[in-house]
Amino acid sequence: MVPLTRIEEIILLSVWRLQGDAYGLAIRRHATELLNQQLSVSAVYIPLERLKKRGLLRSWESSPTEKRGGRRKRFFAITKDGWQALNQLRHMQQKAWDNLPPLAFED
Amino acid sequence: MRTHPPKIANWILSAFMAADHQAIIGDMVEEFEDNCEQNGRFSASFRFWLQTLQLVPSMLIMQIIWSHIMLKNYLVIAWRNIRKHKAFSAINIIGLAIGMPVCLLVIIIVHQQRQMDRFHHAPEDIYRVITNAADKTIGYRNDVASTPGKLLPALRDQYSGIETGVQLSSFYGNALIDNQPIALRGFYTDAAFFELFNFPLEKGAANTALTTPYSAIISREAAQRLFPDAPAYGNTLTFSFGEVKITGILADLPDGEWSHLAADILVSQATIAALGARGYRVPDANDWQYHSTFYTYLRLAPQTSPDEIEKHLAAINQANLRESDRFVYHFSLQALQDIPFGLELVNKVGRVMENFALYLFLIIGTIVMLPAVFNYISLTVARSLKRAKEIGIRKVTGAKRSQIIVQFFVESMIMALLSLLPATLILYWLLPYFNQFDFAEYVVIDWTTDYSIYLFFIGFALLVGLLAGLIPAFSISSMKPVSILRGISKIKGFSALPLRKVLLVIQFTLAIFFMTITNLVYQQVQFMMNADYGFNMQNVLSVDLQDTSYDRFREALLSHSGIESVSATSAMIGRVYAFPDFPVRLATSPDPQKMVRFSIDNYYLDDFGYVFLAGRNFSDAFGSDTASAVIINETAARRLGFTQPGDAIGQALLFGENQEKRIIGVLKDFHYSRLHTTIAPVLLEWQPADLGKVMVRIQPGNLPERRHAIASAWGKTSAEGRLLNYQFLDDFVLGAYNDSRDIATFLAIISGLAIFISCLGLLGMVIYNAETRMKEIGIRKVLGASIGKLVMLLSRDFIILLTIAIVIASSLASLFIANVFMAQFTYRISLGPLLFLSGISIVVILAVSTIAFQTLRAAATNPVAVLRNE
Repeated sequence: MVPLTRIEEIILLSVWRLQGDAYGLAIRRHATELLNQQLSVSAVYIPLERLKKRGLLRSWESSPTEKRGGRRKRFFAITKDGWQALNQLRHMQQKAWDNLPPLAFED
Repeated sequence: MRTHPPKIANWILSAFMAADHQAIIGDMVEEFEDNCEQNGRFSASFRFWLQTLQLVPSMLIMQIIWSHIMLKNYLVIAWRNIRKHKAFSAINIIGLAIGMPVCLLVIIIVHQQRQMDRFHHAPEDIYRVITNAADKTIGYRNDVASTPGKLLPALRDQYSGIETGVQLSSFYGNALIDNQPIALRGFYTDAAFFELFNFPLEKGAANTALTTPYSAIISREAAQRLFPDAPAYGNTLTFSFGEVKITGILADLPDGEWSHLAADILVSQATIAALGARGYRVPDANDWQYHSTFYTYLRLAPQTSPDEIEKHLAAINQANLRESDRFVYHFSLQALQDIPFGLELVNKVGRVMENFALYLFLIIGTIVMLPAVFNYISLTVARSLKRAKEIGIRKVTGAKRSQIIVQFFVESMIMALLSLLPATLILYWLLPYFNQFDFAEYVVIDWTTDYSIYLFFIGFALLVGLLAGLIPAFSISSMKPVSILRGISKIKGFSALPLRKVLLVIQFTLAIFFMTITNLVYQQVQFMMNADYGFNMQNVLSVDLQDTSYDRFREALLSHSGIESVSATSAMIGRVYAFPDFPVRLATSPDPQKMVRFSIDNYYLDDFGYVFLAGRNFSDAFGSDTASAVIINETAARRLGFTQPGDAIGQALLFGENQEKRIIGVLKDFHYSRLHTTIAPVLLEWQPADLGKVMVRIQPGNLPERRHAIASAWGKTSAEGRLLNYQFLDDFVLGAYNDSRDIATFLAIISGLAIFISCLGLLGMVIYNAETRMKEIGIRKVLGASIGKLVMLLSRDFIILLTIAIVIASSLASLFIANVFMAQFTYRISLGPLLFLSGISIVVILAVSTIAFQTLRAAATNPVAVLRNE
């Protein structure tokens, strides 16, 4: 079981959802939307680097365009390991949620 | 219209973001552009700045990680290079490790001097008054650490700006414990001492302990020495002048702290007046001309500048100035922190070094370190040919020049740090030997427990590394990759041969120069210690007469069979700091001549074997010799205008206005002072009242018995409580050369080290030279060259360089001898070519054997071994 933090999970899922358009800014925007809170630049890029280092993501760079101050885009895609890590997490969560007894609160 | 993100923020990002994170900036710029369209430029800029600032911490971390990676790379490469070239690394490390200990010692001493008196409250407000005293009679100026005793009271009473002032005067006495004298050094002072300085008291009250006469505070260490078993506080000490009550004990200073005012004993100031009232000769605090005993320390009030106080001092000086005074003063303030490595002062207090010592240390440190650093430079530059390919490949694969420079610096610094460890061990091992030098007393704190010193050591090693790496780093990194990779043989002139030759010549010039100087000083010291002083000083004990009767003491001494003869003088002739300051003139001439004046008795000259050129000795037979006869030396006779010594006999000399004495004898010149001093005109009188030193000539052998005889004669004739104080005259006279002897020994060590290190470097160069020419040697051998020819071929360059060094060093040494040595020593060894030859030959023998050893080995190699693999 590969442990994932909540932000890593959200980033992986964002990359998956964004498909071929998963570059830094798009990921950050999507994650911001999901979490409903502003994310700083490093809050996204540092987990991205970490996930890449652990082999859950792979990345490549586009050719530079005139936009963006002439700088390249770095695109990300999920690897098989990344997909497995997400699946394992989901199974664990499902197992934890399955057949929970009903709760009664005294109001 | 396109919008651009804020320039400064953008620059920060581009400059500090690692190269592979440029996409992040792209994202930020894109977001900025979008924001501009949606929310306007201001809001977009604000967000961009915010994001940039948020990135600063992570950018910094990335920078550190990045440089860490490069540093690791530098270290690995440096380590590999050091291990790969073992002979070169060994030569460099040994050279540096041998050069360093002397420098480390200097660092210790300088560091400890700087630590002086830092424990006082606000030490920056504490000043010492120093006196520049000009002697009108002999035109001699001195900076003196002490002041007239009247200065402090005048300053305190008439002027503001002083918070506290304290006066110290030296105390030196022997306390009698079970009839054994124990020497105690310290000061007379009062309660202000503890107000001004923060010396902690273990027992006693600072404000009252020093109020009454005959009370004293002693140090804890002295207390243990004096009273190992009994409590010292409240006890009494017995001095020759009486009993002193111990009213306080000084506590030890905190670890690592020391003071130049460290004392065994502090005696109450009131004791001076009490002793004076009893007829003892004590320093006179009211005599404005008496400036050699009282030390004045001041704590200035806040917001008072030292200039103000100096103005007050000038005013006091003006008020006390008299036309008839012998000394003219100028006072100034010396800050407490400026005392270590400050002005050279007469009457200095404590174990403080002067600025002169600092310069000397810097020179010595340079002399030993320079050859080692030169070794590193020449060997590294020589090796650069072999490393050229490495550098070329590095450059082609994208190394910046700065990175190559850093690489070389890292290598040299590692080399220096590696040498630091053995250097420190050598220092540990050598320190006991350093202790035999006088300056060892300046190592006041146990440096092995003061860990901050090791930081200075490391800093020093890094500095050495930086200096050693400077030339290699810049010259090697400037190579062009194309020319390197195309073929090393094509880059002519890169071998930096002139540089290496120059360095080698400098090294050996220094080595030969210092060897010659060492030899010179050593022979001069030998000469001085064996010189004929003009009198026989062997087997003579000099006894301080004090207030004992000379005639009775003499008689008591002569009753013992072991005592050969007894005579008396006013001073320890042979080592007297005497200036010709006593004016006399011939009755027939108006010009006064200044002379050195001593008193002797009628036995002294015969007893010591002085040679009369004319005339006679003092004698009882004439009855009037004590009142009206003088004996002069040869120089005095010449100055007075007599070409023949005999002409002076019977001439009248006028002392002042009305006293007249007749010359009865002329002595051959003798050395009354150490041999550094030129013999001046000397005037000898027979003034029984001035005879303070009794010269007891004993028969050689059975010293304890002779000592006993003197002690018993002293016991019979001296007053109660007078301590017998004597020493051997020749020990005392020759003791004047201890300094010079220390210097000679120290110079010998330093030049020995410099030569050894230089020879190491030479060895490295010869090894390198032979290695690179192995094939050439092989081919020459095959073609029939003899070993002798090959040795000649390999060593010719070095021999030429050595010859150049010899020529330069000899001329430098001659200059030194003519300008410094000749001026220092009036009476000196005869200077001949032999003196130079011995110094040169030592260096040449060492250097030539170094060269011969390696070249012979190279020349003897079987050519098959070198040529087979071509």
